[in-house]
Amino acid sequence: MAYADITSVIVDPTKAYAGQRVGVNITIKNTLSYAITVMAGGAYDYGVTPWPTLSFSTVTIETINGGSSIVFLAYFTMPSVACTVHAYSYYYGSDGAYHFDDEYTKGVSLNTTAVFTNLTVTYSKA
Amino acid sequence: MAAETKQQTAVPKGKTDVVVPIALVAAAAGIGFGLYMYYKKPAGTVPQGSDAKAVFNFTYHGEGGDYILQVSLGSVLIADPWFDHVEGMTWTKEVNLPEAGEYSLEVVLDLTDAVAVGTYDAEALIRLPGSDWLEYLEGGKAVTKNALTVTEG
Repeated sequence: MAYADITSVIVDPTKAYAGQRVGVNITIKNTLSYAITVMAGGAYDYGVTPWPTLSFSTVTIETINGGSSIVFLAYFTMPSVACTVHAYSYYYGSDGAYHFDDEYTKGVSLNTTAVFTNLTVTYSKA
Repeated sequence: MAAETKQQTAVPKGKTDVVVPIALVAAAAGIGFGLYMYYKKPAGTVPQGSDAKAVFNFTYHGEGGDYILQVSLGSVLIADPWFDHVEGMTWTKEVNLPEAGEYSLEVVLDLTDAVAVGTYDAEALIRLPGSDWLEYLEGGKAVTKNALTVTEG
């Protein structure tokens, strides 16, 4: 059992257009009976290395009371292929360092509907 | 025999010979068209060292996102996909499309003095940030023959 347990990862949408912003809500629960400081992180894998990291619209470090949970909000831009989101949790140890604790993965499929139609481009002097 | 030949080539009575007027009109039209083409400046004529613009008109079917509009000058070698880019002649602009709909967006092309005089074909692409520069999205490519003529500044 992890101290900073990732209890859920919600991606929205689960089927996204290339270029669309995909939200990732990571819920981390402190499974201990006392408060600890946790850190959230994440990346998305679509076949390139290193995996691009998730952007966070909330802070990534929070102190959570024993038994409580906190939701961290992240997002990324959907690539042109399906991808897998990896969410990570870390706890702050008594040695003053963050330690990797838990991982949760979630797939996002690609919406292959034509994104652009009727494209015409005209050229002239600016 | 001679009389028969004459009858065959003679203009029938009551009919007008239209060959000569048509030829004259065609010749005049040809000369006029030639003069028009000689003096007409193509729509995309731009002096070296100035700015040109490419206006992208398209329908977007996604639900919002960041994209790159890209324009390259070069020449079409054989068919539409065979576009030969001229090195250093690519311009990009990052745009945000908040929602599905019709868009008309402009990319400014800074034509430095180093751009050679001549007429260029153009390739316009819509792609994702971080993608390879030739990896366009479905429906996001338009090649235009004789898009831009660069004249001496």
